[in-house]
Amino acid sequence: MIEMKNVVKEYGDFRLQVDFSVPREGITVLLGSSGSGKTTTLRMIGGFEVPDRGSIVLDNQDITRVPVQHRNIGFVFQDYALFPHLTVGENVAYGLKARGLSRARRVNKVAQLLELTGLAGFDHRKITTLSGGEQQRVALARALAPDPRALLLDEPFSAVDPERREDLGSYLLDLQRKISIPMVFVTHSRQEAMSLASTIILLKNGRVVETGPPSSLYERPCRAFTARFLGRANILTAGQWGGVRVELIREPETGIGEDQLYMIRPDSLEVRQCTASESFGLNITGRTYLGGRWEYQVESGEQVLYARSPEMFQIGQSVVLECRNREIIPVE
Amino acid sequence: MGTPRSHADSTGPAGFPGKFSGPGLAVLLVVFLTLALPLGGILWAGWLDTRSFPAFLDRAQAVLTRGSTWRSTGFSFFQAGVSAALTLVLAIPGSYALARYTFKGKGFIQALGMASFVLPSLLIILAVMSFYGRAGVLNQILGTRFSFVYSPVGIILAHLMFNLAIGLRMLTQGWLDLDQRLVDASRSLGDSSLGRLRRLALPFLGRRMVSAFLLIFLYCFLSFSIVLIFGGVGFITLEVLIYREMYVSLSPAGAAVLVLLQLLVTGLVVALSQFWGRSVQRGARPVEVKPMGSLSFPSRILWGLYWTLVYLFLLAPLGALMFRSFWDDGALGFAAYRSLFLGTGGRGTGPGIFEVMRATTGQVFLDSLVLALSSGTASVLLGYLVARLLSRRDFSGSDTLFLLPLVVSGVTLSLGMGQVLSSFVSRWILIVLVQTVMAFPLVFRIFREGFRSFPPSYQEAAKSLGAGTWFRIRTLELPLLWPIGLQAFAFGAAISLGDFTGVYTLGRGEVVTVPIAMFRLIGFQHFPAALALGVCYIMVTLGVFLLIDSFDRRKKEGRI
Repeated sequence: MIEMKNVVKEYGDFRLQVDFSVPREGITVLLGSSGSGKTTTLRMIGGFEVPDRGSIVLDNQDITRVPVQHRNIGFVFQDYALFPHLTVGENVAYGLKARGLSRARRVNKVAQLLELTGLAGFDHRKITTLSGGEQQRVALARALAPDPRALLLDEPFSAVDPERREDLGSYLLDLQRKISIPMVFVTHSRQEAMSLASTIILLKNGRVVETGPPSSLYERPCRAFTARFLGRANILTAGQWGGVRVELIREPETGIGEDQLYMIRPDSLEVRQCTASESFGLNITGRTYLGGRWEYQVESGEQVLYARSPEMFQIGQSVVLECRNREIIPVE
Repeated sequence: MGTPRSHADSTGPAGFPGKFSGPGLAVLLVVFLTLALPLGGILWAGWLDTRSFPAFLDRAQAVLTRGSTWRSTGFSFFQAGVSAALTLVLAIPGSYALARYTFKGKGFIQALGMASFVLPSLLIILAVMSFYGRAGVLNQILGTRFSFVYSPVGIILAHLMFNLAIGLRMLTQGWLDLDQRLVDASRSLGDSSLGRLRRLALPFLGRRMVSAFLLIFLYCFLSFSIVLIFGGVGFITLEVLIYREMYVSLSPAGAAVLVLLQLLVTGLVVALSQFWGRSVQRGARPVEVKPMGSLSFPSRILWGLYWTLVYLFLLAPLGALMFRSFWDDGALGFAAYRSLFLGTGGRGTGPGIFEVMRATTGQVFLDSLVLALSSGTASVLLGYLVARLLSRRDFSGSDTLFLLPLVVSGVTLSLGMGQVLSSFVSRWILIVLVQTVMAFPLVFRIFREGFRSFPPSYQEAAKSLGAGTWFRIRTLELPLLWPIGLQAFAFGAAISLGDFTGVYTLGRGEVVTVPIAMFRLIGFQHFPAALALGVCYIMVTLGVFLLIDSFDRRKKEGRI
């Protein structure tokens, strides 16, 4: 397990302050937009940056001041950083050679890892002849070769075609189950985070906003920022409900105040055509086809809501939006 | 998130062995070698000469109130200013063509830009003499006997030959910095070609021109051998005066005062060139390059004339040098080469070739090659070390660091080093040290670019895999920077091969390299042998470059 205990790092005006832990099971994803501090956090775990305060603990050992080369933490870089003058086999064996392993053991281990990563027979290939996905797997094999205590991945799929990302993601999940070491994966893509993570740590301006499993963060976020970051979300204050008539709505609780925010996912709002007796003044002002269903932009005065439905409605059509009480989530 | 590459590398656990910060150590090393040591040496010699501060001040007053000091200073400004201005005037059209058009011979002229760094000044002197001298090719063609070589004209001509390729190179970069988008915007606003040149290009190029002028001015201001030979005793620059003050007037204190005066000028010029150079735009979208063949016929004729003149100006003297080395009493032959290698051909009862050179030709080449090998290796080590230390942080002052050695002239560097170190090390080591510092700016720049193209993630990946510093150097840096190191070595060795100032000042007759031998042969009027030696020098340098190039190519092809 990796523990980041009140770790602080400052660069001029920017201050990163994090406190979280990474379990041995599953993949922990550090998610955030550019400048949120996720890469700095990962680089501190890797040993490339030294925290100003706090401590980093790996399997009960304080590694805050341990040099990179003595941490035995695998790191997969965004650009893979494969050594261009070495072959695939030599790249994978690099860490083993640095540790002084005999040639026979190196050859054996490289063969095992290339087999594990689906690159058997690639030993003598030059790095420049590999595809992006193959290079990514060589980088993984190289990082795994010295039997690291943890594996850190810095946006490793960013240079891979979107089609290949899903395959690589499944492959990584499979690998995690096999080797069972703490894995931290940095990304700014919410789709990648949702599909890979067992735990998402969402960062904003150097602080952890929220931590939890993807489904929990998506469906029942505690903060409006989390709700918006993980997908389209309708965020309404209690005072705004007056202008929009939503069936079955949870009425604002008394005493909470009109500033209380609520979140409803577009998928939780059902769209149906107005009957003659209903005149809520909700009009469709825009629509986008998402494949199998539509996303509608519905306006009432200055209020804009997003709702999704497999049915097709016309722009300008008056509609009613319905939602179940339990899908209206109070957020901060 | 884009984080600054810094703390872990410099202060953290992953740093270079030792407690010093990398860039700090590098700056300290460069300042010590290029400024502190030579200047300290000269000032120390001055102090020893006078033994008291008031006496030193008296000497300073005497030197600074002497007419010759200010005549030399004035002449230094004059010849450097005229040389730099003429260089730019000649280079402006050529640089425009190099930036905007493709044409035959473009690659050759661009390659000349680098050759200027390694061509020995003595070779240029010989070439100018062969072509423009009293018995030169030009006089033979015109059937005249005039000569202006031993005058400021000769000095300026030689400086022009030496610096034209550099001027072309620098101004071409200036034209390339002009963003195509700005040109397009000017076009769309209806400006004519001439208007665009006047209102957009020239103001834009202005800063680059000032920067180029200052740098070439500096090279000419500190030029030694060209002024020593062509200026004689009548036209002396500060640089020559410093040498004379030290070795002819035997006044180290006077030399120290002149060094300080010279430093004032060079420091100011370097500071100004930094100021003007800093404003140059980076990252512009380059202007469109068109084939010259697409121009109108008159334009092509004009360009043809211009390039013919440039080629003639640069290559005719070198051609004359080669031709005259084979010319013997009205017929082609190898007499000059025979006398050079056999030591025969003394004039009447005068000393023979070997006596004049104070070494056999074989010994001259051997000494030159030993020095070149040592200086090339030392340059690579110093350049690599400094560039490596600086590579660990995005150090904005590396351009200034590159210019720092330019502040101190070759004579000051040699004299200063000599004063401090001559009691501890041999002349040979002293010369190697001086030549290493002379080659530093170029070699450092080669390594700096090498390290800049070396992704930091390679180092980080290696560290995360458990590789220590020496393992990383052995398995990553050396294999990846090998071609860069070879290139740096080639330039370091070539600068050593062509160095006259360092060997002349420190060798004091004991160390005879090719430029020194050429100088002595010229001095004793053994002109054909000097020319033959010049041609041999060109062949050796070319051979070294070709050897390194073929080695590099074979390495890249994986045959080594």
